Amino acid sequence: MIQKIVPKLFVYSLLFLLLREWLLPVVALTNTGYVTYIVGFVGVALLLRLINAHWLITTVVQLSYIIIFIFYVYTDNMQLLSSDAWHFFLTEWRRNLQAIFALELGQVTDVFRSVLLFILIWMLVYLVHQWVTMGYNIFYFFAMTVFFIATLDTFTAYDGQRSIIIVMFTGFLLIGALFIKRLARQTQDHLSLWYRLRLYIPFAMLIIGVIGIGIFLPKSGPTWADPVAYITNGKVSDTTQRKVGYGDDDTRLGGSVADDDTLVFIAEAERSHYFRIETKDTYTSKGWVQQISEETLVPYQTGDTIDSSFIHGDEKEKVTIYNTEVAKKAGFIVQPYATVEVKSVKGALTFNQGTEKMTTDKSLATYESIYSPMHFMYEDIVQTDDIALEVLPAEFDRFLQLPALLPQRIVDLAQQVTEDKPYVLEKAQAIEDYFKHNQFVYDKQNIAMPEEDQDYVDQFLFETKRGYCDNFSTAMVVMLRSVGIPARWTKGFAPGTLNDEGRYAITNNEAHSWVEAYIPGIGWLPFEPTIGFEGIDTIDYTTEQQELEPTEPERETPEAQEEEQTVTEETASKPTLWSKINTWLQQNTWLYYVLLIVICLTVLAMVILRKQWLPGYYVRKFKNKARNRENFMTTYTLLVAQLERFGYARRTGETLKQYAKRIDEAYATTKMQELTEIYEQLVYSESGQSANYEQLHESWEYLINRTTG
Amino acid sequence: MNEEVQKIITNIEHVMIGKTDVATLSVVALLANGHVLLEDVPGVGKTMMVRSLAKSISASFKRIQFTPDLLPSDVIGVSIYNPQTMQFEYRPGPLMGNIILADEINRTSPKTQSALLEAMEESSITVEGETMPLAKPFFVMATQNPIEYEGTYPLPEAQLDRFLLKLKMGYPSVTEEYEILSRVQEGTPIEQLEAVMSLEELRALQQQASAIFVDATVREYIVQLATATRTNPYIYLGVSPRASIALMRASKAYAFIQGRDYVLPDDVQYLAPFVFSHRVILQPEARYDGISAEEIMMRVIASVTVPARGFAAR
Repeated sequence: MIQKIVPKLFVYSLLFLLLREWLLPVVALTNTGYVTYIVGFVGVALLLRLINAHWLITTVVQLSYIIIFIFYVYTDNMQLLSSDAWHFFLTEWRRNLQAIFALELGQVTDVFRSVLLFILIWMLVYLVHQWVTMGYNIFYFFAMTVFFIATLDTFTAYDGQRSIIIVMFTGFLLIGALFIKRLARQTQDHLSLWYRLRLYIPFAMLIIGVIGIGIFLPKSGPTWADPVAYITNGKVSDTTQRKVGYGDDDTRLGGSVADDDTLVFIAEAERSHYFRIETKDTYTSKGWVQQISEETLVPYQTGDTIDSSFIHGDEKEKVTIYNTEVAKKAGFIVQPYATVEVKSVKGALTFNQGTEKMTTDKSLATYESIYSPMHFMYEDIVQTDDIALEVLPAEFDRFLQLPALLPQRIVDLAQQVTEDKPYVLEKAQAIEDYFKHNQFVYDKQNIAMPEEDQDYVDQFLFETKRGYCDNFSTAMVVMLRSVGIPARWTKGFAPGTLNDEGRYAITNNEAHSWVEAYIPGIGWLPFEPTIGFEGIDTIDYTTEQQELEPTEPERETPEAQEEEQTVTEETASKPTLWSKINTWLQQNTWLYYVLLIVICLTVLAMVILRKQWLPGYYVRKFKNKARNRENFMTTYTLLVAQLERFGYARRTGETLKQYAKRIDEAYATTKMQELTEIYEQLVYSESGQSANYEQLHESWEYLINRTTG
Repeated sequence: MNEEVQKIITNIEHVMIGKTDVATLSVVALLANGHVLLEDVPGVGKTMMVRSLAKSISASFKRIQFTPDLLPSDVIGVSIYNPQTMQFEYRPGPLMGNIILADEINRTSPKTQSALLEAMEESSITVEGETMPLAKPFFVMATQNPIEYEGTYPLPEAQLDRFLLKLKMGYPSVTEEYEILSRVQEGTPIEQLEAVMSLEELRALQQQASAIFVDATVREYIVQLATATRTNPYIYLGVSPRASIALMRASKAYAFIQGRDYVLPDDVQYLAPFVFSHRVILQPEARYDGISAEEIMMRVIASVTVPARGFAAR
């Protein structure tokens, strides 16, 4: 009984899941309510098929379900068998029939549509049942389901990702289950449940494994442009995702960005750098613009010292940049921190004093940025207090600009964060750290755009707490300005990854924005509020910092950072142990691949070398097992398989006796013949005599151990 | 080896030197209720073999020398008018014995041949409308001289099918032949032979042999071997299902002789050439290539995987 009902129940449960995936989008897209009841109808219909109910019972139960549903949904507690109900039924019937015969389908009432839907489901269940019980084949239905979901996902608002995974799981599992059913029918054999499971479990594991891995593997973006846009507009719609990358227009920040690993340039450098391109000073509560830029363009000759606002040291080091076509077209010159000059073959460069952006109108294939890292003691820069900020000259005003309608809670928050920090640097660092400890999440997907009357920073700080570099850096600039520290928004590229040749490859994914704040008495210093990024290390103000701020693990030694900087962007919100482990794992995704390869290789090696280790495994496995007929037979076949792996395969036409004799001659024993004699008895005789299995097991152990040598 | 059977074989060995296998196979046929076709040149001890076997089991031994003018009635017997009783009386022919040596069976006319073969198959004879059962056990050992073809009537294939086994005596080795001469010098050994068993006991042994267990895998093996003869390129006509049945019966008897109560594929393999080789018709190519039916049988055996539970067929 159980033998029959369990596989059947399993198949019907899978069918239910499959049918459910048909109904859910239909219900969702047509705004039909009462999903549970409609899906429930599928369940009831399948259950009736499962128990093989008489067609009369099936009809009565399903009709009752429909009628009760109609009465429950469309009438106010009307008595089922009252005259009212009868009247309701008749009017509906008449009205809908009239509408249909008049071909006015718009006039058909919801009641009638519901009935039709139910009848459709009824038919569908009947068909599926037929396919399963008569044809033992569900492939076409499964393929149709996949097509259906894919079509809906492509052409409608329905998100089929969850759905397609469920359909794949259930569909393949169903096909496998039905295959076993077919097998049982073809061989005319009664396959026991246990035997079926033994056939099925590896298959199911495979399906779950493959689909499971598939879910977690990274996926490349679509190769074709969104076909819907082509079909509806004839061109790619603007509403599609923006791609990450460097661009000039920052007037409207927010929204999700898609990855784009187009190579921009390659940097040959001793250490990793933040490649600064330009800064912006005016925050519009939606994005960034530049107050003064056109008037401040000055020509720059190769070899001149750059007139940047940035402080630098004396020792000179260089970074050589090799541009790709992308960067050539854009025409920007990247400046690692504390760049003092730029060397290029084709001279004519332009330096914008307002944004500190250096550009060229020629396509530069390569150039060198000479920089001079700063070294100064931490105590030198830490001890500048607010008073210095109050006497700043007017040229700093543009770095203190804030929108007139900036929500007060941003200012309050900034003050609260910096409350107990007396010095300017400490304040800036407090704001920088604020993002690391308050459930902020780094993500490029599912990022909101501010509403018309909403502030970009306000939305990020108080509503979403989710975003990428633009969110973090803009928020920090606004917070710094709120407490009176001059700050500017800086754009460029993050350090990128070391390639095989020891160079840094910078792709559009590395396009980045960060913060520069003015510390009176010292000058401009870069800050990195975006979680997952390591921060700028070319400025060495770390010497005694650990005493003052032991909580900040980032700026320990430049060497340590360099190693870590190969990792680009990660999330870390809660500093719990788990999240640390999690962060570490996420930062080291290569580890998964290495692990995966190691596991694969290990498995492969174990398979190849199985003749070496299997005997030992078998000996241990059977050490404490009962010495009986079944175990003896199992061990004997294992021994023969092992001998086969050693080149002693039983030949065609060779009986066990002859085989055993050959083996014994090869190993100079008589033990194989001893074993074989008993095995022959067990296999070929009617009853099988009792034997001294203990002694036989010893012979077996002796032989199988001999095979490892 | 089964002790009872061992006694018979030891007894035969008193007379026959170095022919243990032929003796054993003859006993196999005897126990399996089958008949043997001995194919060999004259003078290698065919008659001696049968006589010693007959004597060992205290059976009545009859010998028929087949000649071209032999009539069926000479074999099965004839009714003769008895003037005293005024009635026809049946005078039994030589077939009414336990062990029959049908010497040079291919020398007689097909008519007489089929009278014998029919009797072998049915275990009964019909004389003038009256069916009479033959003695039990009834064991025919027919000989056939492969050298002389002149004036012979070769047995048709369908008739050959009636013999359970086809054996060859072969010449004795030098030492064996010397031993034979020594024994003859001492006296006629056959005359000194004593019975080791009664017919009753033999019938009991036959009973036991037929009860030997044949596992499904072994039956499967027999079928596979039979099928393989039908697909072998050297064989024009493969063996019939009757041959499969014969192989199983013979295997049972052989297993019984070996002292086992179940059949091993080894038994089947050992017997297959004796059971099958006279039941197939070879392609002419086999003769051109100089391959005998026995050799082809060995190839057939080598081409069929021996099935055993626990091992997948390959």
